[in-house]
Amino acid sequence: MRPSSLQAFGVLLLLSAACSERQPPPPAGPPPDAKRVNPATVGRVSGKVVFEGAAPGNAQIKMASDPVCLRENKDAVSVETIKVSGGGLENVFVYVKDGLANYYFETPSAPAKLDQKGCRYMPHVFGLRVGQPLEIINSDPTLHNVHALPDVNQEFNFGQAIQGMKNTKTFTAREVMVPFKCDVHGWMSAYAGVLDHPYFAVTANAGTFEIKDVPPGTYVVEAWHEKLGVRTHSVTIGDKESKDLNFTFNVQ
Amino acid sequence: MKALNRFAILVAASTVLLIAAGGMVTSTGSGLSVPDWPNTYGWFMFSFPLEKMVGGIFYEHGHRMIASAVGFLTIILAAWTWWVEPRRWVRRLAVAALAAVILQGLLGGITVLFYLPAPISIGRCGPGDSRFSAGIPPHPPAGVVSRDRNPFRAPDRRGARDRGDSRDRRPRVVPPSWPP
Ligand code: HEM
Repeated sequence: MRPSSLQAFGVLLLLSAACSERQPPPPAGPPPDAKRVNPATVGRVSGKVVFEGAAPGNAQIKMASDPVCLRENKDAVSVETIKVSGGGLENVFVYVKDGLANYYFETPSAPAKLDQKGCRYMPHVFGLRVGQPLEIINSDPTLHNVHALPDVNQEFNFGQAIQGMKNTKTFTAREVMVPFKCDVHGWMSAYAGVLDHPYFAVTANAGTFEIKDVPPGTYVVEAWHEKLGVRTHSVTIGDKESKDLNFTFNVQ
Repeated sequence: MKALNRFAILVAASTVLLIAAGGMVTSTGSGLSVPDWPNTYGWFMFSFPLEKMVGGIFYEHGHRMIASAVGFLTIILAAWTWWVEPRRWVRRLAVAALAAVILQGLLGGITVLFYLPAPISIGRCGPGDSRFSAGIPPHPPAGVVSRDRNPFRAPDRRGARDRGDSRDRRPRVVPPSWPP
């Protein structure tokens, strides 16, 4: 190939990259047969994500590449990949995967928040709704880039050079999960579950979770963990019923 | 000619450094740590504060700075060669080197703005960087890279090489090949 045809090749590559940008459609309004949840009949799903076996130690983060991060973390910090407390696994995203049929839910206008503090994402795992604003804050006196790498939604990457900067983003399609990373600080990662309904939770201390106000019905509930994969269970909730649901993860 | 010869070697050496710096960007995964281009976090790239070159920014912004320096040196090399070099093909090669470095720079910027799209990353980093840039900028005016003061003696040297004369210790000029 001569240089001239090479340049044409470059232009073609450029065009192909531009054309491959995906733009999911914005969330639609309620469909004609949409159902609303009756608050008088709603129930609850709660339980625990159990971690079986000995918890592997999480690697310590080396923050030497940014003196500000070192200064902000006087004590040693570890990655939070497998965080076990009281026999339960934390940072598991538990959500109703299937069964809500044609229920319709208003999109919340209050933003979900993702903070960068001490050169970590807070929270590490979280859920939000399709169309709900996500406020991304830099509370650190250093620079971060916020890089979301969805499969279905639109990828974005922007910088927050100054402490206190805030940017708002929204996701237009359901996606479990959207990974976030900071390419400045390679250890920083977060995951967002984007859903078109409010039935999700993230396991806290001792791996417990609670999903409230679930309408009666039969659902597939999934528990997602960044490293250990997914577990699913089916559950049927009657009128005003509370069900216990436990998931078990282990390191194979 | 000797000065131009030395300058060409300097450009070649700085291009090797640039390619190594590019490799560091990829291997540290810092390709997108500076999300904007041609600016750096909103700063004009040459006024970006040094103390802010932390984490991945050190590699990515450093790579951009080295690329700018190489681009600048290549402009001088192309102009100088154009001015003093009598052989047309060598002059053209020098201009091709400049075009190549500009194209690489633009593709570098585009790869950032489009979040490292595979076609461009592969297009520039596979054959693109290792041969296109390494090939052209380091060896631009082929005759100039020789130690011979008289560029018109180039055919003789080639003859010596072609004969596989092992006593010929002069630097060899390998024209960029494409496809690699
Ligand atoms: C001008 C001449 C340039 C040369 C010769 C060059 C060379 C390179 C090389 C050799 C690599 C490593 C590729 C690999 O490991 O596969 C690289 C990576 C990279 N360069 Fe450049 N570069 C140039 C300019 C730029 C500019 C101006 C930018 C700025 C925006 C840039 C952004 C990048 C990025 C983001 C990567 C990482 C790509 C990845 O991780 O996939 N480069 N470059």
